[in-house]
Amino acid sequence: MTEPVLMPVADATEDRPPVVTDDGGLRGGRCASCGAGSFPQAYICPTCNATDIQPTTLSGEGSLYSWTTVHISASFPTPYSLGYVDLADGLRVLGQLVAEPAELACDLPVQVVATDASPTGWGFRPVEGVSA
Amino acid sequence: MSITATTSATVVGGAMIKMGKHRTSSYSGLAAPAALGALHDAGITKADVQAVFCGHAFGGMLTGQRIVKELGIGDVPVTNIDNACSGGATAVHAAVRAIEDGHVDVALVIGVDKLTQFGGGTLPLVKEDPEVQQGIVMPAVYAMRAQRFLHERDATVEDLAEVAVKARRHGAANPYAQFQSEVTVDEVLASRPIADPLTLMQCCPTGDGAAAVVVMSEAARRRSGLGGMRAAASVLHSGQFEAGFRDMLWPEISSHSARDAYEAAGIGPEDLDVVELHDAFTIAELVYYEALGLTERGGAVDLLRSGRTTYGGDVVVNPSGGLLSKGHPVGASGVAQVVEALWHLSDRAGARQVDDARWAMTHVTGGGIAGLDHGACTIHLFERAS
Repeated sequence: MTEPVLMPVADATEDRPPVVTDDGGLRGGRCASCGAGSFPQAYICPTCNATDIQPTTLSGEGSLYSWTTVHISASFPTPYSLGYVDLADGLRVLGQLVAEPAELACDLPVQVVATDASPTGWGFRPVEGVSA
Repeated sequence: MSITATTSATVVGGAMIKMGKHRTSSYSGLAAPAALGALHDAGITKADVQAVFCGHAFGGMLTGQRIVKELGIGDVPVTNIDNACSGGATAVHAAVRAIEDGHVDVALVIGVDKLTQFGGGTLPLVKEDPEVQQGIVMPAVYAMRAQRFLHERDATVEDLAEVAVKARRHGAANPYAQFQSEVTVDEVLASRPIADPLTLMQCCPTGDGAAAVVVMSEAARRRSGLGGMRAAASVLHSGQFEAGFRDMLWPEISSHSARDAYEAAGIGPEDLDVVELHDAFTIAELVYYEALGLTERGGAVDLLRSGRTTYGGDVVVNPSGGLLSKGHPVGASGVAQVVEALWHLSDRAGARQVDDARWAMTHVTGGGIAGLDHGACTIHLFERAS
C-alpha cells in the first residue's frame, strides 16, 4: 500500500469566512476526537493530535481578563485597545476592544461584534448595562 | 524540556561593548570587538577555540561566521541560534552542553543584535502569528500583565515606576549601559504612554549590542590556571501552548526553568547574591521575583519596597541596570547578563560590584507567540570558581 503524499495546510490564505458568525458567535474549531475547542480553528489538535477538526461556532461572550491601550505600533493607527477575553466555553481569545479606555476593566463582561470601528473588522465590546 | 546539570563547564572570560544606538556598525562591527575581548579576557587565542555558538534574532544568514571571520576564526563549527530574547543565553546553553558532551574543551559564545536597523518602534514580530494579526506588540503583552497585576494585587503604578527607578540607579554606575542617569517616579510616570499602564521609561529602549564569553571545561580551566565561574546549572525550556485560561502573573516557563536550575545546582533562591533577570518592562521584574522564587507568590511588591533587591539587600537584582538601562538588543542580552555575572563573581564589576558575591543567576525569556507565555526561557546559575 502506498502512503499518500503529505501536503501542506493552506493556513495563510486570505480567503477565510468572517470571524463573527451571523448569530453573534466566534467562528472556531472543535476536535471531533477529543472535543477540544480552538480559535482560530486548529488543523492539528494540540491536545490529542487528531486532524479531524470541525468548524464550530464558539460563544461570543466572555470576560475581559486584561487589556491595554496601545500607543505605539506598526500594525494599525494608534491608539487602539486590545484585550484577552476568556470565552464562556473556556478559550482565551485576543481581540481588539471597541470601547473607550475609561469603559474598560479587568473581569468586564464583553461580547464579540463585527464592526468597521475595529481595524480587523471585529472585536469585543462591553455588554451593555453591565460593569466589572 | 532540556535540562543540564553541570559540574564541569566554566566561564573563564567575557566582554561586551557599550550598549546603545550604533547605527554606523554592522553585526561584525558590533560583535567582533566583544569576541576578541572575550578571548583576551580568558587569556587564550583564536587557535584555542574549538566551536562557536552565536545567538541573534535579526542578523540574517551566517551572522556568526561573518563575525568570527574578522578574527580569522574558521574551520571549526559555527552554529547560529535564534531563540528571540533567549537566543544569546541559548547559545551559552549549547556551549555548556557541547563541553558536557566532551567533544569540545573551549567554546566561544557570541550574542549580538542591531535593533536600530528597524528605525525605532516596537520589536518586529512574525506576522504569521494570529495575535500579531490582531495588533499585539511586545509592550502590550507586558502591559496586560501589568493591568492584571494592578487589578489583583495591592499595587500601584508607582510600584511599577519604582522598578525603573531602581534599574536606572543601578545603570548610572554601569559604563556599558545605554542610559547612565537616574530618574524619579514622577519622571517615569510622566514619560509618554506606550501601552497603558506602561510609559516610555518602563520599557527597555531600542538598542544595539554585543557580548561574548569563553566557555571551557573545568579540566581545561585548571590546566590554564584561570579563574572565572562554574556553570552549576544551564536550563532551557520552551513555552507550553494553552488554548484557554492562563495566569499572566505566573509564567510557568520561568518558574519551571528556575525550579530545574535550583535542583541541578543543589541550591535555592536564598543562596543567590546577584540576579540578572529579564526586565524588558517594569512589570516583568515584579512577576519574575515570584516565578524565580525570590519571594512567595503575592510577595513581589513587598520585596521591591523592602530594598532587599538593591545594594545593601541580600540579593541584588539587575546590578547592571538591566534591560531598562542597557537596552535589549535581543540576541545580545543573554550573553551580556553572563558577562555581568562573571564580573561580579570575579570582583571586577567596579563601582557596581556586589560585595562577596558567590552565586549568580541569569534569566532571559521572550518571544511573543499566541497561546504561550513566552517562546523560550533560559536560566543559568553560576558559582565563583574556587
